Amino acid sequence: MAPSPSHPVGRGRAAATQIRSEDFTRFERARILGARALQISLGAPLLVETPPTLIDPVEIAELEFGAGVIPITVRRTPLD
Amino acid sequence: MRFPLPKRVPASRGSDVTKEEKKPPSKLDSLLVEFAAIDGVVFPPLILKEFHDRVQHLRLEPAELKKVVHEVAVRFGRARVDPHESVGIIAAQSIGEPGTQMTLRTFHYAGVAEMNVTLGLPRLIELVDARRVPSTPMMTVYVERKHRTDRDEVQKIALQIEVTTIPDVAAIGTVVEDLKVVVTPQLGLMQGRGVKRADIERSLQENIDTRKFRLGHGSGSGEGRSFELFLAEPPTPAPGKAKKEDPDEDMPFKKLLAASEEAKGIRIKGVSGIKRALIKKEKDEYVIYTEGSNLEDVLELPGVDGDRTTTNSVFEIYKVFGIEAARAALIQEASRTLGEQGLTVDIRHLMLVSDVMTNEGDIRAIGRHGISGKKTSVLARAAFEITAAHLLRAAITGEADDLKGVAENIIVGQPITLGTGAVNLVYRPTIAPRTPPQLTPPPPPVEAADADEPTVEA
Repeated sequence: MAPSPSHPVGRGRAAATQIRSEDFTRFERARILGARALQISLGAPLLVETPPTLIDPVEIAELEFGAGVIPITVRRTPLD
Repeated sequence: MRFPLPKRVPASRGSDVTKEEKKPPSKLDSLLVEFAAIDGVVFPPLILKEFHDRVQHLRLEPAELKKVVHEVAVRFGRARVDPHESVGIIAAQSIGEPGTQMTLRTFHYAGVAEMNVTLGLPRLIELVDARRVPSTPMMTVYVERKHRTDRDEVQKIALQIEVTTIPDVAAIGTVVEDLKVVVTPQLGLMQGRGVKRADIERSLQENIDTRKFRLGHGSGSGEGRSFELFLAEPPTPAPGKAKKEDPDEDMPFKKLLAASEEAKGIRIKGVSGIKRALIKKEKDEYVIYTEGSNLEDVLELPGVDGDRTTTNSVFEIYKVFGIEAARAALIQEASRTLGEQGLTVDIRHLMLVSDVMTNEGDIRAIGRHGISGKKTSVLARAAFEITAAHLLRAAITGEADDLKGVAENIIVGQPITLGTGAVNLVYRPTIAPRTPPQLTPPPPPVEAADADEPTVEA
């Protein structure tokens, strides 16, 4: 279970700009990592320095996610 | 199937609730809220109340309280569910798996003679099916404080609750030659049930059809004097009218037999629906357990503690106290049924089930006749049962489906709106890297440069 203290879900765009990386739910994290790993696997330029031995796109994506440099975020819409 | 609206809520309870709500938040409460805010947590009212009740008597210094709140906030955060978690599926599994371990047998109630209560799987099914009457309705009646420990007083109330019929206190016989039914009160039985001869007389008068019978007094004296029911003379049939209308016309003894059967069913006192009432000592008070249930009428009796008296009939609770009480009763009954079998199911799963069953304002069953049959989406209903019939009907009436639910999206081959499937990604070139990348060029445009927020496909 995510230990994140708050989930500002349901406040639309205004809230989305304030999401810190530790505030993503585990589903959002997985989705972002997946999207970024796909880009990397297809040859996208990396956003962080990586050791030359690191070749798994998912691991690189995790590294980037940890550094907070992935230019992807989520749009949260109010649940009905 | 819609249940009727709740009839009433006893006045005593209603006023208590409003009084409590009007109270301004106490100092302790505002401290709790304040400390929780430090951890970014907002406690729901129920948790806040329980927290308050548990901490109240400890007289903690603010600094100590702060530590406690922090600890609770951390645990609270850990216990929470992420948005888009498929809680329904998890609840279904969490109840279903222990359900396979439940016994199908109905046990006898431990300690109380001959008290049969449906337990285990049959009981759970009964709850989830939202049956109006449980197969073994049962009440637990508590007595008001001043009489709680007095066995005789409790016994008196139990006698008022338990239905007493004429055969319970009197012998019924027929005398064919005189065309009469004789009811002979049995003093011993009457004493045990607290019934007077006048009570029998009154109930006879009230319940016997005077067009057919005439009530008289028979032999004996005092309390034990018997009653006699004479068959009334049949009214002379109007000449010319068909005489065969009543086939029993020529056989008065048949009527006599019918009369004695009728007398056997006459209720002298008690609350209708309650077959038996037993007293059991529990801790330091006497509690009445009944076979049969009639919450509405039992609550009316003087001496009954209406705050604690309860029934295992969820529908009766709904009728008397309303839907929120019914929800609470469902949770409690389901949790107790599972608990009695030694199974632990997190109460939140049961809460979810009860919420789904009650959130429309009446009690709906889980399954075809309840929530599954009432889904708005055609595809969801078709996925559940009788597929062709639902689709055909939808085609005839021109129904639309907005593909919001899980089943619909699986059918059309789209990601479902749960978990990662519910997340909408957005490309944000404005996010500044925390440590600027040194060797790498700026991030690539994920897709063709759309106006403001192109959605990322992956």
